[in-house]
Amino acid sequence: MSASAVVIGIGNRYRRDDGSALRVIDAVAGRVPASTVVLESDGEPARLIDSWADVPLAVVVETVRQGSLPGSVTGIEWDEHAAPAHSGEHGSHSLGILEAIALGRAVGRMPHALRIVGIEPQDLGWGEGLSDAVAGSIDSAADLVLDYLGCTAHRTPAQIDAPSPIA
Amino acid sequence: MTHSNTGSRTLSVASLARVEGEGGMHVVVRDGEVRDVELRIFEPPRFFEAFLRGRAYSEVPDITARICGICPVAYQMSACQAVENATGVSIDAQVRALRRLLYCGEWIESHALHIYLLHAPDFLGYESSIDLARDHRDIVERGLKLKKVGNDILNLLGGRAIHPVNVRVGGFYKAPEIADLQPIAERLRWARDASIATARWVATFDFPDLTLEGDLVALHSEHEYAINEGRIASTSGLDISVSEFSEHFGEEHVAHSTALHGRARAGAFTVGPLARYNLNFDQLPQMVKQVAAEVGVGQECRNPFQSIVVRALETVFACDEALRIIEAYEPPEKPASDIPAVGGTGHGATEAPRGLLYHRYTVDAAGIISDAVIVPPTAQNQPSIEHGLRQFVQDRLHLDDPELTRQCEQAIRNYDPCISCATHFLDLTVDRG
Repeated sequence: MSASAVVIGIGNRYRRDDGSALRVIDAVAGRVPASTVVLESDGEPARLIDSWADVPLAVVVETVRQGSLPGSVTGIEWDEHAAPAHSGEHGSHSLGILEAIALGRAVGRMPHALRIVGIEPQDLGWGEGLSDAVAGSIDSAADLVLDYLGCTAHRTPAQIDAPSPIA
Repeated sequence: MTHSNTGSRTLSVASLARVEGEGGMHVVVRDGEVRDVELRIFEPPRFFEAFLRGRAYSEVPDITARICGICPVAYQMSACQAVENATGVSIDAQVRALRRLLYCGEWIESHALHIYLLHAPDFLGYESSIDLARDHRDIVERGLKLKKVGNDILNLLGGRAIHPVNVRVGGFYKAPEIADLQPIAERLRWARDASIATARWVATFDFPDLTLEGDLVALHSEHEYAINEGRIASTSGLDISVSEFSEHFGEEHVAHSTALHGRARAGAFTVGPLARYNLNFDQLPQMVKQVAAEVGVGQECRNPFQSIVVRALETVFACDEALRIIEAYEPPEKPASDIPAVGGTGHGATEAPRGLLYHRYTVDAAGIISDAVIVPPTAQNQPSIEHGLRQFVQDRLHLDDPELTRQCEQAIRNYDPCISCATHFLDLTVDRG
């Protein structure tokens, strides 16, 4: 059976809040439809492209530094007509989501729809465990992922930022 | 660009915030002469050495796999070998072959990434692989497809491509059946041809004149092109066992970097594809030697810019070797050797895509690690990179800072350091006095 959706968490569990996306995919695993694939990624673009090419919906969860309050969760709906390389959203990875989007577009290997769930980090130092602010946002981020997948029955009442398109 | 009140000029290269590694370079120029070049590299192994102390030996493959997303197998293999050496375990021949196959997958994936997405754009004057893909989509697609073959070997044997979970001390949790390997064999035949085409392509690039000085160090085996075992050899005649590594090579702190710098008793040295190629050319299959001759690379190659060609040749080799292993494969009786409850100190060294990777662990009888030492290839190469950059920068002081930065990035990428993963990774500071 080909996947109807893929959820990709990008991060490093030994880099404090950089592990937040992986905690989110831990939280949604088992709560998604059987046709949804849940993956861990280090953000390397070629693998990201392989993971999402031609899949109807890809939801990517990543630490995103935007200068907002630590733990803030932002939903981004990728628009194929946008210019994501100049979006102002900075992922935490050397080879990240923006390069993957740009490269995927250049070689025609994108998902039909792409949603990004960004979590503002507080601490990206070496070590295990999330900061309190980020740990408190995992449920909200997981709910947003489930929203994007259409699994609204699992929603928790936590407050989150409204999804917004990439500028 | 900013001007500081100390008179130095700072170039900030736009880049994404980095986690896996960060790079910076500071050049001091006085009276038209380069006085100093300092390369700053931030590396994670120091954290992991401390993190591993007090952990069970069985956790080592999973923990060390997370040191690098591009070469997790290298860290796992050196780590497993060190623990097995400490506990006196021998490995089944077919398990050893599977490890070599897994390693071939990592070489294919890492080399294809480096060649197509990182280094080739430098040579062709493109800002990035994205721009290269806009003009030459077919070439980048070939690179991505080639990389995926390596990726799929990691998926097949490692359980997944990043941080493989099927690797354990003593072998694997589960060994594949013969039939499991057949689908990848057909794709490897394509990948071998694609790698040959890659070598022919990159050999047409213009290579600046530069000679890599000093000793070249790599694993060496009389019987095979060394990947996951062998003795440590050098072009100056060094021939030692892996357990003697610390007697000949060390690391030292330098003020400008959190990464330890490699130091050899015999002087400056370099590890990586050029070292392997120069030391182990005789062990390459005849077919690879023929491709090398066709693309104009002789038995000796000391121009670091031609490392991109050598990586392509090593990719040809890795595809060919992976096919050979698959064709000869018989499932082992047991996927892993048992590890006895004995303590000791053990050493492991394998050839990561970017060079020799050494691990040493001390394990007590309860299987707990009391000491860990990890010497990555980038740390070993750092003094050599700095040394090479001094003359490189000296010859290019007439360039403006953006062009100097671009050319320095290209030169540093010759060594494929961990920091090179970013399209633009270098914050260059030139103090011109």
